[in-house]
Amino acid sequence: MGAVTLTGACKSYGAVEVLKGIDLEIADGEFVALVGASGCGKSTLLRMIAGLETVTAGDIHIAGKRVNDLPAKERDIAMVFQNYALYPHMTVAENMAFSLRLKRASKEEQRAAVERAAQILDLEALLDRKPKELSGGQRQRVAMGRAIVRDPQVFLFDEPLSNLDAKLRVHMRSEIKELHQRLGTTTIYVTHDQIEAMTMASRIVIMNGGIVEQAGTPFEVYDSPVNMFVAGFIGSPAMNFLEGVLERSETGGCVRLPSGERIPAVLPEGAVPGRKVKVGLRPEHLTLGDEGPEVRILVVEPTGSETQVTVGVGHEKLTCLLRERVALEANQRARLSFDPAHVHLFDSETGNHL
Amino acid sequence: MIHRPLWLRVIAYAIAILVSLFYLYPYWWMLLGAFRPAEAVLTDPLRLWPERLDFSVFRDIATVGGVSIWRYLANSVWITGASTILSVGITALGAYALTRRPDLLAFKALRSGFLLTMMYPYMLLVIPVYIVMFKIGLLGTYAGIILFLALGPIQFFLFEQFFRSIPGEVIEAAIIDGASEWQVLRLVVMPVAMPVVATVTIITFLLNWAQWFPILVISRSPDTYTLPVALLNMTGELGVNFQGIMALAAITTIPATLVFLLAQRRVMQGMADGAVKG
Repeated sequence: MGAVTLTGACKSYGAVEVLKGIDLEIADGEFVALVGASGCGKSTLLRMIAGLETVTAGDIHIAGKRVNDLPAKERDIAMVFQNYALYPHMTVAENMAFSLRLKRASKEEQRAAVERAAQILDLEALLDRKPKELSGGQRQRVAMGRAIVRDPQVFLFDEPLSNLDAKLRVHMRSEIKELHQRLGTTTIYVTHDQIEAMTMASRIVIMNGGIVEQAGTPFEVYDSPVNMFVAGFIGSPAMNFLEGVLERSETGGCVRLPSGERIPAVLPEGAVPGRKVKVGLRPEHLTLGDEGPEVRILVVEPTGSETQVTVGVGHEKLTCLLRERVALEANQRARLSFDPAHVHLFDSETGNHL
Repeated sequence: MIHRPLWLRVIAYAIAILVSLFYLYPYWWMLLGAFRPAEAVLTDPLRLWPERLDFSVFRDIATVGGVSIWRYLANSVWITGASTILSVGITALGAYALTRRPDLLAFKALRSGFLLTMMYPYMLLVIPVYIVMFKIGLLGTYAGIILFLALGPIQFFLFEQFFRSIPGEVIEAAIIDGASEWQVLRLVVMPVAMPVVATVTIITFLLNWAQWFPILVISRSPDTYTLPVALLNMTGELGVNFQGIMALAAITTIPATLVFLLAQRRVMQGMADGAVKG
């Protein structure tokens, strides 16, 4: 069915290498999010799968068929673009039926397919409107409707929610997820927003500089990031990093910070005391209590449901995300506590997880 | 809407009417001149109404240079019409191809070439065109004149500008939907481009209707002259037949004015539609 396999997929524009040998297997019915900063090559990869960009080297298979040299229309995919890309002179119904019209499907067939998609997306009342009479969210639904009508093997989404306001984005996020659960079509979703990726996808592929840094379920990439890039990219607010040196202690191990403070940590097997490391602490794993290294409160930012506190340890700054309401003020002293099991250690040179 | 005081509006309208009259007066003067004998015009040039309607001049200009005025009119309609259709078709397709595949061989050079023709003095351009027309045997033919007038760098750049404004994703969406390159153009790009097509058509029509120099150069006899060329021809032939010139000028101007008046609404509408992006 709609499985997608990439084997050593490369893309170069002249001397500039945008993608450096991507290997990825996406199972039929899976929802995979390609996530990464701007310019990491995620959109290029999606466009290569769609057939809008040529493949410089390597292979792309869709449903077991090599599609490198197949034109976009023969790949049995549908794509939803960031700016909706609706045909401005056609009504919603005509936009959705366009692919069937090109296939010379009967009027009856076109109408049935459009009605089905409109029903799924709650677009029935808008079928006779032109795109310019619709709101951003409605336009995005029409773009999705156009994809559904085609009944493809694979859905490709290229940052479809970036043009929507924050509230609508959250709403559309769950709509797309629900749509995927309902249709079960293989979906590849490109986004730079890690929250979108975490909440929607069954598997996340984190890209950086034209390579795949890590691919795994949302919990895998959150709990066990393979390197500092992934650790810093996944999670919001981002993970705190501190420099330090590994030490043995009575309880097991700890990391000595340049300020002299010691952070308890579970030392990995074969860890040599004296080794320089980077300590990764997620803001949500930190609490302010009576035990642990002493810190100075710098900024307190309450959001209602939680409070973000920036604290100073020596010359470094850390962000803490506290669930409970706290009566803290700037320049106050507090102690930072956390579960050693939640401390991530990275090689200070390679950035890889120890 | 801001409500401005009455006196301000009266002044604004008065200025607008005054400026309009300033521009309209020469046309009215041309029309008057067609119905007033030359002596009357010379003795009382600023008169706003004719003493009497004198139609005698239309007999004088029934033939100019031995060719019927109807022939000139027919030439004008045929040459302007054909060159406009050809121009719009060719420049639209060319500009589309250049926008879609700017990477194709020599396309950049071609575009610069078009730009160059706009910077090059028009009069000088006619000399090589004359030689080329002579070499390919189109001198003195309608085909030669029409082909030359169909060359339109301005039209080309107007189309190019518009095609660039169409988001690439719309075209890509159509390609993924299964459209061939021709279907993309016919079903997606051209319907969106209708306001620009209308604008370019009208601009080309008005430009080509008033054209005289290249027609004079490519023609070998008055048989292929258009109305503006005939008008130019009148000066030498009848001395200064003031009334005749004004009458022929009026005949030349009226069709172009009508086309503009009829089409301007549609063009404005088109431009307004284009401004509200879907």
